[in-house]
Amino acid sequence: MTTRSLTSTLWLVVVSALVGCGGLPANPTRPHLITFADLEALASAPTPDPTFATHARVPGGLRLSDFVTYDGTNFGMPLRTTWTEGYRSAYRTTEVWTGFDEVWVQPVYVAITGFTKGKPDLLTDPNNPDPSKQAWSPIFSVGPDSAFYSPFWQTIYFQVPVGTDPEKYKSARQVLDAGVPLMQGPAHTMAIVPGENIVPAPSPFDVQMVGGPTATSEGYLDGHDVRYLDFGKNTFTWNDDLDVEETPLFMFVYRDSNGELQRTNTPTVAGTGPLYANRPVNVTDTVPPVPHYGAYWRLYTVELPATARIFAPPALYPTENADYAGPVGTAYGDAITKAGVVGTNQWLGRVALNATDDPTQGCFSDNQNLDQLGGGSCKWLDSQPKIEAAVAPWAIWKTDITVTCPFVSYQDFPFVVTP
Amino acid sequence: MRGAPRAGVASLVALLVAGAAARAQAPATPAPEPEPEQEDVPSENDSEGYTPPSEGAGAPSSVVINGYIDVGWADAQGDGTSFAPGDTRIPADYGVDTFAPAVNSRGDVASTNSHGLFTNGFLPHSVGIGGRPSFLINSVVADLKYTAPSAPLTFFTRLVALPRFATDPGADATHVLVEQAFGRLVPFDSLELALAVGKFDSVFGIEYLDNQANIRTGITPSLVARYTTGQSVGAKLFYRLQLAPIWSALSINMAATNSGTFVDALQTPDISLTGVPVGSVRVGYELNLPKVQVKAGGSGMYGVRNDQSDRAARQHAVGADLRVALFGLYLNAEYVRIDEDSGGPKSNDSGSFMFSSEFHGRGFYGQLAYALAVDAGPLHKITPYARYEQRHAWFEGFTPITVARITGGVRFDLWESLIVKGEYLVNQERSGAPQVANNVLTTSVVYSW
Repeated sequence: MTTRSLTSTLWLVVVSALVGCGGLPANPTRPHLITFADLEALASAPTPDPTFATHARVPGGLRLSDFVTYDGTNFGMPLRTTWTEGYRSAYRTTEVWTGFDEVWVQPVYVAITGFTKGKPDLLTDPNNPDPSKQAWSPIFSVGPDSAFYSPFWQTIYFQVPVGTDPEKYKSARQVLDAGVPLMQGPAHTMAIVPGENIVPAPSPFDVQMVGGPTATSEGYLDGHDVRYLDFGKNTFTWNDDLDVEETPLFMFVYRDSNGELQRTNTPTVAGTGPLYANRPVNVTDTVPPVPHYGAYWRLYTVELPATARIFAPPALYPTENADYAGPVGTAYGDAITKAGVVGTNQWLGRVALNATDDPTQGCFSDNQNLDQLGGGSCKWLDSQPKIEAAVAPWAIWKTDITVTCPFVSYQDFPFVVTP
Repeated sequence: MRGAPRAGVASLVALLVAGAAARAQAPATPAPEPEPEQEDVPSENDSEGYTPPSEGAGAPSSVVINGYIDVGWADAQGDGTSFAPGDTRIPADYGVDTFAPAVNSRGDVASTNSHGLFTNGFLPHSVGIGGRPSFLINSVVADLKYTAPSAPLTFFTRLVALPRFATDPGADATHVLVEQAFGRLVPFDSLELALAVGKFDSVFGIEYLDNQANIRTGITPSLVARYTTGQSVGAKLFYRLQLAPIWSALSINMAATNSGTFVDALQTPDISLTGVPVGSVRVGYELNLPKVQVKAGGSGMYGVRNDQSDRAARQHAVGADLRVALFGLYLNAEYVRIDEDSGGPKSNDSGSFMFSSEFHGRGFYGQLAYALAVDAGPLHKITPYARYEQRHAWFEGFTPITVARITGGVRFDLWESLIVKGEYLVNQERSGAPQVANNVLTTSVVYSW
């Protein structure tokens, strides 16, 4: 063998190895975190895709307009209805995860000067000429560019002397290096967002009172200012591995004429715990109740039974009637039309098991039937126990999607965020 | 998995017995020629790493067995990790440098115990001593080399026994490692050309040349060694062109392997998870004057990251190295830049994880050593040395961290087969990572046989 031929052979071996072989696994599905910044980017694209997360076991994917809107200047956060134990509630969405088995709680550091009657005295700077610097400022430890980011934070209070400049501590490293006392605080849902131009959409109905954040606030991350939306405390729990515990959120789907599953685009149903666990809802025993759950959800699709009908009288709700897909009710009694929006909006988008296509028969024949909790005859699929009882287990599918959907309205009462 | 024994103590005993028996069966074997690693500090090592010298037909013996035992004592500050108390960010290994508190030449650290906090597979091997001073058998190494008497072939295996006690979470269990196993073909007597196939040293940079405790001037590897010094399975080609008129030589060393140049704690070298090999190369120049040696090189690595299976997730690295030797003074310096794409589910020696994050790292080190020849009985050389290094790295979206380290130590060479080393590592968290007590005092006694 000549030197040249041997060298050529060796190069061939190396180059062939570098090129690789065909027929081997390639590009497996990756977990993907979609933050509100990503949603904004999707919405502000020149020609936005109407859907995203299309390969995560939700038929057709998720509709972008359900999560964010864009008017050329501001980004809107839609208010999305869900049913909680038969009542209407509402949430907003700030993050979507696809392919994640779990997400994690991360620490957020909050400066305090002490405690008064057991409540922490947050370090503020009321005399700061910049109004955005006057309030307390959380110090986040992981930013939204990381796949390990989540808006679910465990508050870690650190105590500083009264009069401390709030801008002295702007990073987790500064806090830890200071050696100041650290105290564990409550769970806190705060979504880091790109900017201030976010407008939470109001409810179209007067009786639905909405709380949650009305504007962004300012915090710190790695020494820099960041904006965030504060959805309040104690709305999620986590386990010993710091995995945030998920709760099912049910999306209705139906089979079209081709036998394919499709979204109904109707409001979701908020569960209370693992499937068939019959876990009681975690709320305060006050009036109104305050939810201590609901910030983090796993989407499940629920294939509607053949008798199901979606409540959306076209005379009252033409937009929603056109938007909903699948078995939208076609026949409504005159009393329902006469009750108008004021008398029926609490049921808009609900799915009844005993409606018919005859306006004189079944659930949709009279507005007196609608209030099942008040003795009405309608059989609504508006809670986890009702779904589990009425829908076969094989028709309930776990998806690859989890979401941040903290309540901003619970049973039509506002969810009040306190510092 | 970390903590799970890869082979039992029985294997370790069998290995040592086999090594001793093999040695006893070669009574006519003359004393082996001194291996390159046993010569000077640093060794003559501008080649394809630790490979036995070529020995053609007519050599005294076609089988040579040797090795060494590295016994250490180490004391790390704190709990032996770089995890800061009170820092509950996860993954815990993304916000600190878990490789900093190294205790031996393998880069094993005192501990990787995150106290229950989730980690995502960016961990070194651990001896599990935590913050408790302890004696250690760092490694028991047996080399076997066979030179075919009638062909230009050499076969080499290196077995490494690592006695460990895996009670500390994340610590390794006792295991035996096939660190190198390759055949090497030198087809032409007239050319410095060699082709190796099997598991062999990295070709990137220069620090891999000091992987073994009996070669390394000091004890611990640098902060960038994790990217450049790993052995892997594949094929390697080395060629050197001597330019005698100008006292110089040019060399190229290139390889296609399963995992590129990462250490095995980060990417498995044993199989390809992607079906696509990783290419790496070093191009070197050396000037060999009678009193002065200068060696410089540039390295590169490119391929699919082998801690996941998505072929779209690439990794690439570039580096530059320089060595200068004059009048007993030795300077080694190296710069490395590494970038990895985000990938699919991650799998490496630490376990399986949901995903592999995009990663970037830059680092350098410079080491100065002075070999002082002495004539004091068995002591024939004293080598004080100092190293400064810095590493800046970040995972996608995570706080970038910058750490630095100052290492000072001294090495004593006694007879031809005993080395005693001691060094102190001052680890500094310059930015990003919380400051933590993680300095290390470590010693090493290396018996070569």
